[in-house]
Amino acid sequence: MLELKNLTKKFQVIPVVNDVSFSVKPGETVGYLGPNGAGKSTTIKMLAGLLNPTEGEILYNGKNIKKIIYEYKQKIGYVPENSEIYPHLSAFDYLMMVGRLRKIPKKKLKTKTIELLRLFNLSIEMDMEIASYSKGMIQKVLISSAIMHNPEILLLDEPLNGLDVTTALVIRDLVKKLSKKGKIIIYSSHILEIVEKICRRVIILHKGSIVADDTVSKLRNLMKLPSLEQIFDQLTVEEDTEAIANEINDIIRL
Amino acid sequence: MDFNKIASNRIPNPFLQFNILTIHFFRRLFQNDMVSFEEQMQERVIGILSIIAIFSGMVAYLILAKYLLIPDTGNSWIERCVFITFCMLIMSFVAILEWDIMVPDERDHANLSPLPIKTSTIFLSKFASLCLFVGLFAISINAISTLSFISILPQAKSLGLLSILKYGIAHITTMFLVCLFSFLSNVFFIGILINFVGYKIFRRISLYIRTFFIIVYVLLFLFFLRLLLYGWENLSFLEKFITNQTSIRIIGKYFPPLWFTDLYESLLGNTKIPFHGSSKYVLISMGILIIGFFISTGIQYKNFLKKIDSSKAKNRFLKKVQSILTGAFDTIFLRNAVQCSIYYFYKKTLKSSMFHKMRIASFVALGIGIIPFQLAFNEILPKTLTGINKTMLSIPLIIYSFLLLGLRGVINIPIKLEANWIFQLTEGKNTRHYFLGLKKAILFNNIIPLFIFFYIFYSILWDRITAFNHCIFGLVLAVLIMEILLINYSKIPFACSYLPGKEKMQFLWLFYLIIFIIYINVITQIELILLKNPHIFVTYFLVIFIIILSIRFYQVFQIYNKNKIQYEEVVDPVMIGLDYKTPTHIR
Repeated sequence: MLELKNLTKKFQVIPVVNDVSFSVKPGETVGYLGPNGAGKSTTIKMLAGLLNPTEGEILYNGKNIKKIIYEYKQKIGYVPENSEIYPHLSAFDYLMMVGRLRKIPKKKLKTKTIELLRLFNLSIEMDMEIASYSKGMIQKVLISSAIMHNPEILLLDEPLNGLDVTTALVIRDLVKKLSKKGKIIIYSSHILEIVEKICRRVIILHKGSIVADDTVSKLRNLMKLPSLEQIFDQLTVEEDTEAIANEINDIIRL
Repeated sequence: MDFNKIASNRIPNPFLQFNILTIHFFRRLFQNDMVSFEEQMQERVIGILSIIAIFSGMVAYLILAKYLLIPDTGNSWIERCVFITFCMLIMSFVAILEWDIMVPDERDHANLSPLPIKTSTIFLSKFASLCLFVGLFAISINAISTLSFISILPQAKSLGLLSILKYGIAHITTMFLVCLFSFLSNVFFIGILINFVGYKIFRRISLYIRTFFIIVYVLLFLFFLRLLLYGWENLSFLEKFITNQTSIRIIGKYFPPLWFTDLYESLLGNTKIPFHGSSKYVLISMGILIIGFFISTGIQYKNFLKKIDSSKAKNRFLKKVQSILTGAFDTIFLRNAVQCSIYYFYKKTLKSSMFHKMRIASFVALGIGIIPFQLAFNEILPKTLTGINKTMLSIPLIIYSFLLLGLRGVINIPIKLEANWIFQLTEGKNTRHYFLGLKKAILFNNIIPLFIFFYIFYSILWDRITAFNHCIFGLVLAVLIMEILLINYSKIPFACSYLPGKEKMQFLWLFYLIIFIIYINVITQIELILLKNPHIFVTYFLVIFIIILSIRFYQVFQIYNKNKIQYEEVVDPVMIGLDYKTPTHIR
């Protein structure tokens, strides 16, 4: 089980994530939602061990991840929000490098790499430099690198960025399958429609704090709203969106 | 008010576009793969221009100093010609640093073609930006030197203020044209090369051509310094050449500095020089260069539009052979997965990053530039080139020392810092393998290939056994130097942040130079003894082996086991405090 206890992250003195606590059981897929700047990616980065929390702790199976950081990192797969990847390597080279760093046995690694690239329709481009890839292709490489070592925990930060409809559907089904196999999945996204379909439970973050943590159906009943999008709007949107749209329209016509 | 109507009726102003693009291209000239001024751009540019201005001023003063004592008998054109050559050399060096950024590239095409900009505006603004750039350097080169030229030369001394102004204008005009000619010649050469061999091949050979030119310019520069310090006296062939009227007239047609010297003298009203009339070549060549610039960039632009198909399949047989060889290599030398990963990351980064390659190439070029100095210093004659002496032994030592220093510096520079999260995410407990992978990568990709070349070279000069012994001696020493240079290194190559300037070269260069000279002499002396007594080689290997082993033990127990991989370099404190609060015994 993955537990976050009173997690706070401050940049300078400004809290980006403020006293966040929740836990995720194996086989559970949690939708982690929030508007831009709510602190979703920062939380995911702390869960990936890339950022240290200012306060609070993250426990994996009851142990603070700081104490078992290397073992913990071996168990996680992470798809970052920004597709930062070495552009001078090919997809094949990149996955081989990641696989080696993850210590996947040599024989299995090559097969896994080639097969994953084939399944993501990257066989033809696998020897080309990533610099020439589209955003969607880079995303496929990142997803492959996150799942190739069969991790126990999957941290997905906007995993469908730039993906075509078919691949997005593949990922949706894959997440469901991995969840059934007992993986812990934290799925952060803006596409509420997909979150609603994949995740039973959602956590909504606003200005660094949790404003809702429940199953989608319970939230619907509780707030008497028909969709997750409307629940999200109710909890996080403070401005009159139509008025802002009108103002933007006026400005571009200047 | 109907905003739509106004927006659709708005026509882009070509003059405004030209201005914006000129500034854009001008700024891009300071952000290339050799020199990056992204941070504190203004300060750095001013710093470099000031250094060039002071240096050129000193050179001008040194050239003209004799006229403070001896009156000019009408031969001061020689000094002008020397200074023109110096300017050309400086500008060519600057052009080499700018290299492929001088012509509009794929990036310009990709960014600018979707915008409503005429192709002619792009070309003209590129040309204008180059002129601005040259102008900036021309001002820098001549800012102080002009004072020497208008005040020291006796002709100028005796004249009034207006005539001094005339001298100044003649000097500045000629020098600007000299700089522009020199810069455009390089641009023209690159343009021809790209169009002749194609952009794809150009990218592959570009590094080698650039390195070649760097070496040539370093050598010419050292030769120039020698001329400045010792004069023509012991270069009798040059003296004869200058005094021979016929030969100088002939060479006047082919040697650009003489064209500009004639232009300079003509502007001053002096027609009594042996190669008078050659200034017409200035106009002709400038015309050719400017037209050539537009034609070659035009063809390049057309070629970009064609889009080269880069997805050509590799030869299957070759791919299979390569795969077998790589597999065998990995099994023998890179058994650990992390080592393997770092090894290939290093290899592929160095292969594809022009920025890193150019940094290393400039280090190696500097080393190669020192060799003729070393040969001249020890008065090596062609006959003794085949002999086993300290100078000949020092050649590989200088080159691989510079190569390793270059590599040590270059691995600090990240290829894409934001992408290093993958290393942070996958970091394992045993960090030792990251550094073993790096050392193996340097050994197999840089050191061993270099020594294979040295072996071939020395086998031609000497007998094979001596050549082999010499190379083995160097190879073992190179490994030791690598170990020493990486002793406290705890980063992943090309993946971690770095803070430049920690070596404090501006203050310590003389100290480093002295140490380097001592080091060269001591090592070559040891090697000379070893080559004369090959049976001592065993002791030598044993000593080196023990030192390397000690370094490895130190690294494992004092560095790798205690420290994590350093992804971010810590900034030195701006002010170092006296730390008076901590008791002395703890400090």
